[in-house]
Amino acid sequence: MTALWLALGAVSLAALVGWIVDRISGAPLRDRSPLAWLTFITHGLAALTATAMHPLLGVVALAALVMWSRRSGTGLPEGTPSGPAIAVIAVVGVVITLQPPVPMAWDELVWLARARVGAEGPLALAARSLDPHGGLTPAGYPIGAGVLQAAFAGLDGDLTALTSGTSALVLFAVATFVLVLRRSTEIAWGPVALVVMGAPLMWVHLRTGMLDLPLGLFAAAFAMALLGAGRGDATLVRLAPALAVVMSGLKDEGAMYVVVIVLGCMGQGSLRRGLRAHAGLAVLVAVAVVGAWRARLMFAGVSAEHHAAAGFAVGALPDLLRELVRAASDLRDFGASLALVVAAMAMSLLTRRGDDAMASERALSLAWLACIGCTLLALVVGPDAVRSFATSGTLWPRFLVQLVPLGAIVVGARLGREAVPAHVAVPA
Amino acid sequence: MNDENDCITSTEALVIDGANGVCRDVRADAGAPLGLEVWLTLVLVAVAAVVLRARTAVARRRWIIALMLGAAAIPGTHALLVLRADRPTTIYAHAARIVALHDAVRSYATEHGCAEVVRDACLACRPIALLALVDRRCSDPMPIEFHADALESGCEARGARLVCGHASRGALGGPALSRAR
Repeated sequence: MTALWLALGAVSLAALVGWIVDRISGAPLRDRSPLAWLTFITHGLAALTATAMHPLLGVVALAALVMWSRRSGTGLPEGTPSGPAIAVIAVVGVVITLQPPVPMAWDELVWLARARVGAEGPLALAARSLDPHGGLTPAGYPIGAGVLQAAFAGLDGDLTALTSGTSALVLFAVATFVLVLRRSTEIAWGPVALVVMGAPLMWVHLRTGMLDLPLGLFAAAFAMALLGAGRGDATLVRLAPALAVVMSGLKDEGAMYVVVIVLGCMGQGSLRRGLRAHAGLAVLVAVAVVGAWRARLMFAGVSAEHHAAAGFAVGALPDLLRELVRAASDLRDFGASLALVVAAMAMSLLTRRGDDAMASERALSLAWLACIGCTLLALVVGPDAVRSFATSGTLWPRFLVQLVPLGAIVVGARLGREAVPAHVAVPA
Repeated sequence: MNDENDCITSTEALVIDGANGVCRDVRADAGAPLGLEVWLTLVLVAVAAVVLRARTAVARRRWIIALMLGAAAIPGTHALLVLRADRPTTIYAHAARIVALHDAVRSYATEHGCAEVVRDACLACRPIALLALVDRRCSDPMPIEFHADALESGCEARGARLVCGHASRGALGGPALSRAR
């Protein structure tokens, strides 16, 4: 059985850091729902991620979070009961707990190796990653995942503890997604959950320590937090930048999601005026985390093994697109989930511009497509090794696992918008 | 990296491609022309668009969507619960093999200060060894051999080296990675 309780120490400490940030900001949240506590925890984890990359970066991140909290107000949203969300999280927790605490997928083993180094101490993984002869593979990757997994494992390098730590990270991502979704009153949360659960490959990833599912869930939660923050929900306003830091620390794609989602929302005018600065700050912190880490790698003489520009292989595009279509149309992997997502996106992009909710749908649809576009571009300009992952069929299914939650939000937004009486959805 | 029944049924396949798809042999399919599933997916997209645009009540459409998702997930769920090596009834057996190999390699490295893989005929053993040895490094490592059946057969110390799998089968499967000790 997976020992999820090993994460309690790190979660409590992170919550304490987040609570202190909240208190010293001078504008403490009035919200005391599970989502508020999750926001405190995320602030703590963001500070840990940044500190692990460089202690100075940690100080800057903490200062930014305090300033952010001070500016974001203390407003309460209209009440949505968290009970069903807690029930879903509990069921997922039981499913994860019943799995053997053993890494069983290639990348999971590779990530766990990094977490094992991270278990030697908060700064150990950075030191090893910055050593050109450190032998850590793949070289030059962000270290946030290893740091968080090690923290959730209670800094214990034992196999059971490490696997439990990775499972705790997955459960934390599920909790973030579900609690933010439940708070997003304009999104029909039932269909969203069905679209995510209706893709069997998501269940495979749920029991592994792969990072694709948590990253996808965080990205979708980030998008919902940005869009929901417009209702004056201070909790969601505070959650967004902390999620941006965590996502950027997990994988390089994390910063891409932050940038693309913010640009999509701004482009469609679905962010209220007061929120644009906040969204811009989220982009800034995401880029700062990635930029600072890349700078440290460069000064240490370590090149990013898989995520560096290496040419312009535009001739590979047809092969890349073919394998993308093949992966997306595998019914055993994704069932009808991606078909629903594509249909909802096509409708939102082809329909005339409408109200704010419609703008949100379009923004998310554009962000979804932009993520695919950015990844295709990265594969075209990236090294042969990564391109071969895509053309050999192993990259796209995992990437689509990242995109299913964000796509599910589009479906939920469409159904949620239509469920609202017309006189509310389209004010005169 | 699948087996003859087109699903992931061995520990090795689970490690190598278990998270890349529910059942499909992604590497074998790569490069082939797109098949019937693409057309089927397009039909599903069209049906989904009709359901999302329908003028019936939202609640009814949600039920239709739930049914559609449930029906389309049946093949994948069947694979997860009945076909794959990590189905509920066999997952612990496969996990035990991975743990056994990991623990054998790690114990050997701990006992001798450190170790390195000098023969690597078992592809799935690579990431397991990476995890086991990531914090067991030194300048004079002891040798470990992985033969093709390392995950099934386990490891044993032979003289100054750890041999995982049967040498007679492994010798056909893979090259020596570095110096013999």
